[in-house]
Amino acid sequence: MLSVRLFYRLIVRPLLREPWRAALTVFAVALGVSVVLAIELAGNAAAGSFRSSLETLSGNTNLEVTAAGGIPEQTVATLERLPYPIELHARVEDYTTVADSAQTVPLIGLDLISESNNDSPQSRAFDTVDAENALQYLNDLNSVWVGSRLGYKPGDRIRLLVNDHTREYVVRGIFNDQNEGVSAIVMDIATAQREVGRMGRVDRVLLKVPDEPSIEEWQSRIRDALPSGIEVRLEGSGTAENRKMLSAFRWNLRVLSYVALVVGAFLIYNTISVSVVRRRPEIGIVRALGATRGAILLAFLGEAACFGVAGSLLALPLGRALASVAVRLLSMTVESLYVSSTPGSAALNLPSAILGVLVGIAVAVVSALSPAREASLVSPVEAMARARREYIARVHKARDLWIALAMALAAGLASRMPAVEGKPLFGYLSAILLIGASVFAIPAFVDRLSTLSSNLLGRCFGVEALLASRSLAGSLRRTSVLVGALATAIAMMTAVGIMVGSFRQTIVVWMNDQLPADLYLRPAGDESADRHPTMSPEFADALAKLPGVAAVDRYRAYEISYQGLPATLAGADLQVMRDFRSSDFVSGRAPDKVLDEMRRRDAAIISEPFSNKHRVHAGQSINVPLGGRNVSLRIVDVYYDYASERGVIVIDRMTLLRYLPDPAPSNLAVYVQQGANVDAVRQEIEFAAAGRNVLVFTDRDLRREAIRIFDRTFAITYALEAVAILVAVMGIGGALLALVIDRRREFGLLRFMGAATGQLRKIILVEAGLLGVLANLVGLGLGFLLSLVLIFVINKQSFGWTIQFHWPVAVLVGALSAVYAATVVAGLYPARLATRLNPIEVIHEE
Amino acid sequence: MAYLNSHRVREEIPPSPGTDSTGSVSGTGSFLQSTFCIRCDQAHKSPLPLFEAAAKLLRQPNSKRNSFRVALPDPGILIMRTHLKRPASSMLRVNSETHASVLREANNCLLVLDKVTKDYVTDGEPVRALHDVSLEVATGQFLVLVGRSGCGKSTLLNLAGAMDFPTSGQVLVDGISTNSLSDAGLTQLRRQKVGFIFQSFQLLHTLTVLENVELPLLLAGVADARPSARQRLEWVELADLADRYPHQLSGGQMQRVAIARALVHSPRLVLADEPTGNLDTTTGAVIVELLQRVVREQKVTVLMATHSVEAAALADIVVRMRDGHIEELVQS
Repeated sequence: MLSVRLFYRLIVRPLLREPWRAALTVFAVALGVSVVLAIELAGNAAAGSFRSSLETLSGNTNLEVTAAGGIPEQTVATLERLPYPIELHARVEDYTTVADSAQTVPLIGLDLISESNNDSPQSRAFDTVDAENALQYLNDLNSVWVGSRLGYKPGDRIRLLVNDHTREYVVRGIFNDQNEGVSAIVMDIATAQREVGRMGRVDRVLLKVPDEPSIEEWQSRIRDALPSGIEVRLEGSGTAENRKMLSAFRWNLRVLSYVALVVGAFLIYNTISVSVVRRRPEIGIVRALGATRGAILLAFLGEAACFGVAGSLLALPLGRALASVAVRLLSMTVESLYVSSTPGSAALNLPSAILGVLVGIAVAVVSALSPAREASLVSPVEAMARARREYIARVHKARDLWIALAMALAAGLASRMPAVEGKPLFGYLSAILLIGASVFAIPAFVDRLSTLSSNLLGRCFGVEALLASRSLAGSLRRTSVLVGALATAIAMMTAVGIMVGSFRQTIVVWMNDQLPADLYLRPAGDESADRHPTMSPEFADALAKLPGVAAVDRYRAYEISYQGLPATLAGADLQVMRDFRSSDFVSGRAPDKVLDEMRRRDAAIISEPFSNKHRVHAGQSINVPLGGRNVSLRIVDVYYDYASERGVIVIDRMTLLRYLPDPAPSNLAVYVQQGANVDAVRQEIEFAAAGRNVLVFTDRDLRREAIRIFDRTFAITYALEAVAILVAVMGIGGALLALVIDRRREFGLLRFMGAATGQLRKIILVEAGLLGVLANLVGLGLGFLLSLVLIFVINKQSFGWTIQFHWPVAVLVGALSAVYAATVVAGLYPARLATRLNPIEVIHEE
Repeated sequence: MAYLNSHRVREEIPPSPGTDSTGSVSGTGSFLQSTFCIRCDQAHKSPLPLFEAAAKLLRQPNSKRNSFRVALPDPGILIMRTHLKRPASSMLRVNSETHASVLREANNCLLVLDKVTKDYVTDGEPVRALHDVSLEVATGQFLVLVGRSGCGKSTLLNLAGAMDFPTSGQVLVDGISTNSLSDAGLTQLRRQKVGFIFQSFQLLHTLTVLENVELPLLLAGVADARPSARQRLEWVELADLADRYPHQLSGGQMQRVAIARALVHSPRLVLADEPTGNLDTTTGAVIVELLQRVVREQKVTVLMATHSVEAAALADIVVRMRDGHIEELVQS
């Protein structure tokens, strides 16, 4: 009871007297927590929904059989003949775009005859199939069954874009997909094979094996019965692989989302520090009257917890709202860089809500630990006798500088450490240590800079600037925390700005090398990193013969699984590549030498992300399951690739055709003869492509599109940075308010000394401006170092890209100016408050 | 008072704000030995007749003999007359500011409090801090205000220092009515004419001693404030501590710095609110002597609120206050 009363008198009452400042702190916490929550919810919605994509209608099977490039039908027959009580579901899986709604959905080919004999969920889903007419429907190659969410009725006609052609189908039935994450189009397996051009092959066979013996035993038995290139794994491994692949992306995003919270933590620290400093005499009094150290500690931790609870509760609806925006951005990024994704809705569930509230409270309480402990250590006599300002000035600059140095060295060491299970944990540690080092170095920096510059400032900008700079140095502790908070936000913004700018520039330069052809073609429909729709090989042949066309590079990509991670296996026309491409290899070797080593051999070049993910390098070999065989490919070299974060293995097209004899290309690159008019050739190509759904791009279109996707991909990182900056600027506003209240006697005195109200306003604004300058300087320096960690450690270990360092000067200047302006604007209200103080009242206080 | 009241003239010329009014005076400056002012309800003791001073002040070059044009910027009506039995024709209608100016000139007053009342509102209730206080302080006088805490000393100092407006009545600093000034005008007045000294020194801990002293000049926009600040520090014998910070000084030294700061812009009036309150007796005595020197050597008027009997003994005038009133005014 005593504690509650103490808490009310020492904490709650003073807070109520400053509702604006309290509200600002609560809102800062709320923003920090809501961003974390939003990213968590959006991440779950955008990246957590793979189960619902190609896993649609997979039922309660427990094993799956896959192979790169598909499973030959003979293998399916082998499976059927196995003397085991196994249930089999062969599937052809691809994507199709509903022409009318432009919605891309999974296209699944099921053996409807055998499914109708099973009492499986798949078959039950097709209750609407009229049993008597089923056979007739199956004979009719235009029959499709459509998920109920797509909104069609039996008998409706539906136009579907598959690969490079659009065809009209008749909806024969609707299956219930309300429990699935996404809708799908189902065909009979034979129709699907024809439509996607996979004759004689299926993509996956789902197996339901009995409970006894163990699933591992079944896996081993079945694997032994199948050729070596066929993989038998647990059903849903693809989903697990996707999740695993995305984990680094989600990790980094999650870490980024915590930046705003870290900035919020600074502000809680500052708020509680201000509370402690202000109430020091009261602490002394209540200690003298019998309050224990523990009660004081609890009172101030309680204050922080109040901010945490209020902020977190406010963050729940805010986070939910932000998540619905973030999920769209995230799913686009996932789609273009990783895998087909159908975002679910960003629903706020109880675990996420609890997580949000706990994170908010934990951050608030942890940030308040140091000042609260300091409050509990206050000696009653000292607190009542000593002047407050003496206390404020007590900052251990020299000691802090040593700590900063030690942390910087530790950061350097951490940056040299390898990734832990694919996660750049030491990279994060290095970044945190760098931020810590800067926080500890800030007092000395601020002190030195303001001491050196105050007289100069006074001469240039008047006595107000002198007073402002001296005040900053005088309240070194408060100033350092504020500069630390804003500098951290600015540093993250700068670091991400430099990283993204460098990445962008690297891609621009890379694309100049990588897109040497004049025209590019791909099937129409949405793009995704894991979808490789094909075009007819005859069409490619026809293109090569068109007047003005010098050569056509046929590129074919397949999705494979390599060591538990999805990857892309591609075949490229090496003859064409050698003639025209000047690809940039990590080894720096001449392209013709590298490509010569690959021609018609079991040799490959791998993309840099693949090399980093699987730790394989030039000279080593990798085993890739191809066409029912395990093929050992020697790695000739590693090439730079920024098109996808998925690893890519490129082999000679002739080699690929040897193992997977499907000549249909996924992409075509057309080289126009010297002197020929590109536009005229394009017209010829478009004429030749009549009736096919292919898109023709010039190299410039493709570059523009790539940069557009790139910018969209990183939009969310900018948004996260903006929130962190907003939190920091709010913190500056709140702190300046506190500063006006704490220094009201000084302002009152200045009025007695003849200061005009405008001069007081100028002092506050100059102080805000100086805080902005200091934070920008520290932020820029720290941001540069963090960008090095981001580019060369975290990015490299998470994604495996080599990024050339580049200063995005215009972006940085713009962003820093905006932050600076916002900081000064944050000083406007406190400045107004300062001018409204009654000097007589404040000078006679205490 | 009864005698004076009996001679009060009740007739007033109706006010006509914003317009010029004409008054006439006969026998200017020849026969008036003393004046009576109904505004402050007392006779002014000045040897220079107030009426003559008024005439001098109000005379316009183009005016006719014995006729004065008076500009009336506000409707504050003041009626002055001699206490001789003169008819209404001897009345002048002047506004309150003119009246105060006249008073100042008549009495060589640097500070005039003219029937000043000051009310504050505390917890929604009006509290009267000063009640109908009139006071004139001449240039170069050392006036000490004594009285219990809460008797209105600080309020009086604040009003005298142009930090606040009276609820009624008016305050003139060097002839300028604070009522007529805007906030910027008050600031200007403080910058030019007033210096403050406080009980708790009120030095800025982030500035050096020298910077603290030059602060009023810098705030007033004086470009080269340093020489004046050094000079004042020398005057208070602290030139060798110029580069120290306040926390490195003793209480007495801090108060001497505060005195140097109060004098740096050569004010005509220095207001000291219990300057010895935080000091021991010996140091306090040194500070009071220093303030005496300020009056003697700088020809500055000093108003000091204090509880110290020793300090009061050194003053030219001791004003004893009680419950917002002047209880007693003793001239040494």
